[in-house]
Amino acid sequence: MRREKREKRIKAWTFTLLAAAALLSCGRENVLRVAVAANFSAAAEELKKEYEKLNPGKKVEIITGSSGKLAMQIIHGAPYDLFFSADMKRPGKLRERGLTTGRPLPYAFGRLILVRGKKEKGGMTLKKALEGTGERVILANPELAPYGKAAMEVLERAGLLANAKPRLIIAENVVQSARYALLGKGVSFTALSLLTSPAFREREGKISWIEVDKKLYGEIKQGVVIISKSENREAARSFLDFVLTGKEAKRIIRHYGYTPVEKTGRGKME
Amino acid sequence: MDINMTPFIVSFKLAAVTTALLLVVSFPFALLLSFTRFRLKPLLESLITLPAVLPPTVLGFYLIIIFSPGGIAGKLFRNIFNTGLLFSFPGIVLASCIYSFPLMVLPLKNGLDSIDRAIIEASFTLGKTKCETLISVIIPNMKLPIYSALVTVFAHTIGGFGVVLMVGGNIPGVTRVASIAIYEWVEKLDFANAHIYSGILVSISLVIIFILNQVNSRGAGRKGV
Repeated sequence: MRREKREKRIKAWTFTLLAAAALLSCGRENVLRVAVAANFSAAAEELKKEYEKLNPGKKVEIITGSSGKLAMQIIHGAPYDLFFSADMKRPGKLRERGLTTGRPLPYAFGRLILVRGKKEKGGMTLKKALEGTGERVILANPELAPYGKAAMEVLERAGLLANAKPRLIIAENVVQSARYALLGKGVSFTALSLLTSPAFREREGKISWIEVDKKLYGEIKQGVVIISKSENREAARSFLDFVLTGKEAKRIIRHYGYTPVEKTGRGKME
Repeated sequence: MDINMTPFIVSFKLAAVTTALLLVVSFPFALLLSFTRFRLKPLLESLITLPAVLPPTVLGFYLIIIFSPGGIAGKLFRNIFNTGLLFSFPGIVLASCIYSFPLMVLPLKNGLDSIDRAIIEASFTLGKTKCETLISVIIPNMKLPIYSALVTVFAHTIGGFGVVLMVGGNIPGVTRVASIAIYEWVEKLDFANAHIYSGILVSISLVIIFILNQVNSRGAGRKGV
């Protein structure tokens, strides 16, 4: 008797769970799926909001991840319409495989900063921060992350590499690099765009940072492509147009710590 | 602050479906391992344990290849259901089943091993068929291992991350599970939201596992195990 009761109860629970799950899994059609490199995600969310405001009825969905993972997923047929990469290399690779409608177009230039989790007396300079303090120097993996590669170039061009080499810590990406600095583990090269993130805003005035001279590193050019498998090409083009040429879009891109592209190579997407 | 519950629903749906499916699929394997003896058995046992050894990124990398439209599983799935496997909900269910497989099969096998062979013999002597013996003698005598396998697989699937991220592609409402949503907050350096989402995930999981354990211990207590 009791066993039957218990079994019934289990059945009822299972059924309720499954029914609730089924109800909430209905698909949504005609949403533009935009894959965005993690470093650009905050800006992308803002761009999405602005675009949806200007184009009522249109819906954009932002999917974030590392550029490498997103590119890998696109190679294997991920249902994305647009891909905003953190570099030009990955979209270029997709282009070589014939997976895009055209060559990659730059949509923003990244800006490199040096940051420390503590307030510094007398201001921060590149040399002072990197030399002789004995502190760890943190950067994103130069093999994978454009900002990491740029940081390596800075160390080389400023003649600080030999000095800093024994103290280097290689983080997975710019976000991890920034986290280590916030935890007080040393000075870290990271993206200016991260200063708009909640963790940095909370610590405003309690950290120190400087932007690295742009002459010390090669351009951190971020490229975008339309995926040729996309069934929403019109919408993809319209969103891309907004990002590349919209006045408000440029303001957002600048606000989130990037240099927007001045002249665009429009008309070459086909 | 608006909290999006969808990733949690996806997570728990994934865990429920994976656990149910895996129980059905794993039982024959457990029976085979427990009741038969053959030369390649140690090899089969080792193969079954393999998904627990492989790092999720490695497993995910190979599953992408197999699940992609040109891969074996991807092609087969398309032929049967006329839709792709990669970046879909069935895809993450299958991936979760593969990497939780040893966690289901091995406890079930141990449970079967612990059943006194005499009662099975007695059942046969009384004229019961193999199927009847399984349902009315074997299964009722191994409720505990079944429960613990269910809870382990459920919990493991809720906590799953790497494989689901690679095979599922983080698509909102479809394959974005709670663990990925939390990872995203961390990547956005938004620790407040990361804490909130983690708190929700832990609380719901705790409640579910608590209920399962209650049901289980009541069942076991009555039988005096």
